[in-house]
Amino acid sequence: MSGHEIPPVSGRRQIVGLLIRGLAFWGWLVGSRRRSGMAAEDAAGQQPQAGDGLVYFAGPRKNAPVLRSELPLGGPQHLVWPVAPDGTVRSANRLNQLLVIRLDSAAIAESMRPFAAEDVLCFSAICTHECCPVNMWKAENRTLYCSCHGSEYDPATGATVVAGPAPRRLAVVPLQLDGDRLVVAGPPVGRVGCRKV
Amino acid sequence: MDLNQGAQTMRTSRIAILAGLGLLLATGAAVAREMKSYTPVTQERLLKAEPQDWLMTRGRYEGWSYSELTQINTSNVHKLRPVWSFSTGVNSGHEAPPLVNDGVMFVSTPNSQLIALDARTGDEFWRYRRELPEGFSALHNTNRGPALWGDKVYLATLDAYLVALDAKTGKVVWETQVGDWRIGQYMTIAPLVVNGKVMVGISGGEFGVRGYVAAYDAESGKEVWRTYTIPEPGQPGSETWRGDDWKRGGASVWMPGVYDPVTHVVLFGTGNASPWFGDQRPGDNLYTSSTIALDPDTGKLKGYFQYHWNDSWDWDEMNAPIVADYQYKGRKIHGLIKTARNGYLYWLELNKDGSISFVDAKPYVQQNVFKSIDPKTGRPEYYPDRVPGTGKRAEFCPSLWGGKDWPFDAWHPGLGRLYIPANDNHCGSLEGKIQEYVPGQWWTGVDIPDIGFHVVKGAKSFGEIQAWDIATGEKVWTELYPHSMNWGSILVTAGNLVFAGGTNDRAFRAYDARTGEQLWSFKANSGIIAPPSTYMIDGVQYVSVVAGWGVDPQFQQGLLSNLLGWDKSVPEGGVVWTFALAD
Repeated sequence: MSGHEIPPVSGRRQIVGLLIRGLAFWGWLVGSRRRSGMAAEDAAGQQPQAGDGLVYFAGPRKNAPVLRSELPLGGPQHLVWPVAPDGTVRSANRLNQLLVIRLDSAAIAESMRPFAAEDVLCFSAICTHECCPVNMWKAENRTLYCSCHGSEYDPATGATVVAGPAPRRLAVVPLQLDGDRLVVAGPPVGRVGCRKV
Repeated sequence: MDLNQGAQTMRTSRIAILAGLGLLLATGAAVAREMKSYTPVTQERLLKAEPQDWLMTRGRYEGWSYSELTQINTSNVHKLRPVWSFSTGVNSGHEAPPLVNDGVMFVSTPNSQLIALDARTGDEFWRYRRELPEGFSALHNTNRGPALWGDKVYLATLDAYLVALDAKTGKVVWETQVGDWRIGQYMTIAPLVVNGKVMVGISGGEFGVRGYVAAYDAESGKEVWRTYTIPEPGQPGSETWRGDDWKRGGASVWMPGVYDPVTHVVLFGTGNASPWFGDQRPGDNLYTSSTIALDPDTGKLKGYFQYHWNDSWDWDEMNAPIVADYQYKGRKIHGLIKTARNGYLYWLELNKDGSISFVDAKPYVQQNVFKSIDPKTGRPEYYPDRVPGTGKRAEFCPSLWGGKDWPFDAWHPGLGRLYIPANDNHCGSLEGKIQEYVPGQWWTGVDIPDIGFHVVKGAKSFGEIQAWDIATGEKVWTELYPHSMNWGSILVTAGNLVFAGGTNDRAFRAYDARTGEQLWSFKANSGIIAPPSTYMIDGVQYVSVVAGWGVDPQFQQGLLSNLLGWDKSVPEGGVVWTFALAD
């Protein structure tokens, strides 16, 4: 039996399970409505969406569009924000912080190529351990490095965890190119953020 | 069974289940223990520090981590057994001692939770869970403990709020914002309460904060005073800063203060200067890496002692010193004893006006940075090649974690001995770069993967417990850990026992305080980095400690795993363990 199969349960247990799931779904529905309601009021808080551009988070080109050709080949990563087509930088929610990295195309895992804009990949910059920023680069391991507890992610294989306490990989954000400009091709794939406690 | 019957049965089942769930909830509520009475904490009780209670992180105002209880002693400690345990349900580094007030225990956990337990049984009275803001993160998610005053319990939260809870119910009475987590300010400190003022300090020395201590009225939560640990232009000490460097100069305050009732000053330790490299902020940089003495009524600075000027090693001196009357080389001193992160042990005098005078200092681990120490002022002179700078790599010992990091040392007044949880034979190397300041972002001048860390070649041990005779200035015994660092705060008792965890093998140990002989040990579920405490209920002495490995010891263990092959995977998970003598 694979880990994803649900073992058979008794009728009563099924009903209890359904009830609990029903309650959980209702809670999620209410929560997501609240969340989307809040987000609708403020595009700056909405998660990255297809058509968003990317702008630099800091540095001399802060808030300038991110161009593929100016990213250093082979790392390090740059922290960026998604920016709506109307120019709203989606920086109201820290969980929207993203990172981009340009890699040797041959090094990018086959499974990650559909998400890449040629040789550039984009991930959530929020560590899945404690939500700290994945803002450092460990050159000797060619890994994305979290500044709080040293979790390391391999960008070429989809930001899988290779060291440290992070429980899961970073969410990937599909990219495409508009000329040389990097553009978001869809919402994040995978869970953004961390589970505290 | 026809369909209708089935539907009916289903409906009945649903009703039964809903009723069952309701009953379960109702029963749960009934079962949850109600705290029937609670003994208010007064100034008099805090001053007395009666041994049946453990009312503050280090047991008493003077920071001794010492208990007068003797029921458990060197002759019977071998009969010590766990009597109950309690899972906090939280992972990561648990760094708070169980506080106990008249049979009620308070334990804080990472991510700003606080649990009230029946200290006799480990049954839960209530739990407070801080709802941290969406997207919140902190470099250190831990907590060093709550504080008690009146009928309330106070918690400094990661998102920089001071919260007052009703000690009986856990309900929030008030909460006051102390700092702004979005610019890197956060709190892990245990508050200190003196005469109804709740004092806390702010963390964030890696994010370009300007540190401070602030006091709040215990009843209303209103801020009474705030004293910055870095002077602004025009104030005394501001001449030790260049231009605007003071605005982001560090000196965070992240460990609890102590109080000296004799001189009526509170003493706090300050953290590293910011960014980490001294050549980026020329000057002595007062009051970074210092002990500061404040008037608890007004926050006025009464005195200070800076252990090392223009810090370039990330050697915070965040721990407040121990306050004690002691003899040193024939002289009676009302003074301070401070095991500094910089690798030296300091004897200081606390004068009547709250000023602090240097008496003496000695290295307690290998330290290769200080060329000399001025015998009058205590000011060190450095070997220039041991001072890291911008574009200049320098190697130095001990590493940035110091001879002793935040774990508490302990003072046994009867024996006149100090017990130090030390780490030796580890060194660091740093090279600075100019980093752009971005509010709330790492801003030290070096990225973590570029921080050098190594061990002394051929070293046979790393973690230690050292016992020092304070009167003679001599080390009298040392316990060496060949395969672990030591992150364990020490508890010492009048039963002449030293209790400590701190090692990566999950052990909690008891030693003879006179000889250093190990008399007892127990394997906990996880590594122990929280301070132990002891107390008495109905004539029975208990020792409690929280296991829960994480944060810096876990990170450092990863480095040592790479260097020495130590097992990286010390298990996590917070559990309160309580021990008493078997019949």
